[in-house]
Amino acid sequence: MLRTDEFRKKAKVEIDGAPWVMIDVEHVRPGKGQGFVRTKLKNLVSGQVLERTFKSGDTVPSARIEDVDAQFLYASGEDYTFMNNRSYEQIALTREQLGDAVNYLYDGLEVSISLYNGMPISCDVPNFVELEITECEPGIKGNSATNTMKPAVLSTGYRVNVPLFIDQNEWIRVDTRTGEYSERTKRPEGR
Amino acid sequence: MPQWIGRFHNRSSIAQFVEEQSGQIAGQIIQQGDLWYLQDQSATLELPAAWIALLPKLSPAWAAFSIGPQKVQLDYWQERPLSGPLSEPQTRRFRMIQSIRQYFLAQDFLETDTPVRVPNPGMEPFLDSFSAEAGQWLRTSPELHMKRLLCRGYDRIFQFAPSFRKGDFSRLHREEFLMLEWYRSFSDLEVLIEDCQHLLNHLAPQAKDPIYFKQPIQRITCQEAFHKWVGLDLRDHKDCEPLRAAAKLHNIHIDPADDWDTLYFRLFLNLVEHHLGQEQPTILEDYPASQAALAKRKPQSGEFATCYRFELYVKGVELANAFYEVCDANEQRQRFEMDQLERQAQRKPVYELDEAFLQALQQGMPPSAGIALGLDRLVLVVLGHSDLAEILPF
Repeated sequence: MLRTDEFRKKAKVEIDGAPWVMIDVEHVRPGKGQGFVRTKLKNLVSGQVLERTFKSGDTVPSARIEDVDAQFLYASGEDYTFMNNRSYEQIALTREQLGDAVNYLYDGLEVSISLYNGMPISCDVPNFVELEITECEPGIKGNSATNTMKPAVLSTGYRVNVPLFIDQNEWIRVDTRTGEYSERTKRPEGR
Repeated sequence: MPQWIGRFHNRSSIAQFVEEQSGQIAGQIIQQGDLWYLQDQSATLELPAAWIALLPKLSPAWAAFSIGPQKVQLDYWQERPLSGPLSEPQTRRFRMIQSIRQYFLAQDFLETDTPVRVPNPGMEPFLDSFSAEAGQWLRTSPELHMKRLLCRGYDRIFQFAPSFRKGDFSRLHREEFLMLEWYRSFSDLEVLIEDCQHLLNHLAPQAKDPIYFKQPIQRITCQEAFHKWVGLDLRDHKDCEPLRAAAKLHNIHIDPADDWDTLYFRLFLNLVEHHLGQEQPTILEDYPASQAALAKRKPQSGEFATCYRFELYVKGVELANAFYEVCDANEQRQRFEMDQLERQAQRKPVYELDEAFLQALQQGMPPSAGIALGLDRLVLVVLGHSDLAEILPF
């Protein structure tokens, strides 16, 4: 249980059977009266944002969020299947739950999946992911400028802008936090 | 560059140096026009070229020289930022305190001080105090002692009172804070509202938004505010249903156990408070009788019982709380006893009644009005900041 004096930004709590993360916390005391804590909460499943005022001294159950290491297996329609690296159990997430992560999934990609009461709610991919370019105009040799870009399609189907010197079937590293090209790289071993 | 200037104990004044032409002097190096000077509290001396040659750099600094008949030596030099501390919010807070003090002195108020460590730090059931050993506590406000002064015939008093409230820490709260309290005997709340108006006008030239602070104070009753922003007419005090319905309508979470005042605060915090004082400084007045604290109840005219209490809001920030004070010793005793019960119910320390205060009331307190203003918050809103951390010197 979390008491109001332990409320902090990023604290995860359970309200009405759903997990919420605190994105804003402010203690208030109108007049010399009783204290309250004004919070802004974000639903970790639906993304809905809610404001709620608690009375000082109130308690809320903390949300039990467990992060597990997993790897991507395959996609089928809107469903994406992963394998829990420890238990070898399969975990299914929808495209909506994956959000931008869906752009970077390849067979065997190591990810971290958040489970709430054993149910998967979100997926974190590594900050950098190496992917192959499957479609783009031929590279211009010697043009090392990185500020002029051309469109390219990656093996996952994700569209990204790359510098002019990059060629088809080359490998690049993408920054998953921004979704942008980061650098040219070699084909990783075993891929 | 020597960091040690301990020899500076005998001759450190420029005035004396000018007379004797030798000695040790320390001062600030400042620029006026094209010339550079050494300045201390006694005089200002144009820096001779030979002294300038000793400086690592010609810039605002403070320095110490030893001057003998044959030679000049630089003992210490430290550069100071060009802007200096004068423009910092912390310095402006010091200046504002000074200017507020001058304002009250000009109004013929007497500046007072009262004990900080007391047997009864204030009875408010929702405030927590720091224990200060031997049954003593740090005051949550100087209120009770200020009123004892009123009983002794001081009729126009103020105090900058460091006060302490345990556990209060946020953007707008500190556990130790500076409270400005002032009291007037033979006066009602109208005069205090005028005081607030004059004080804000007085500070307007120092404000980030001077026009705002020159505006007339707007007044709104609690009933009007709830009507306007909650769509609820406050009527019967015991009936929680209309408040619950309003909370439901506005999608505000409530607990089944919430009493009338808790429901009131939930609605107030979510729907009313942030509107207050946005366009111009605002007085919220005629508080529900259940929140009278140390204020006199108003003779009831309509369906809703109220009291003589107001709060001053500037840009959504609660700045001050004022009462037309209870001066009947019996009524005051009863309220304190209620507070004791409430504290007991909340399993908080129950303070002994302040018999010295009650006795003073018994002997007669003139009808008086008093107000407590959070000085740090006032500085905050005048300077246009939003977090106390930005303006407090420590």
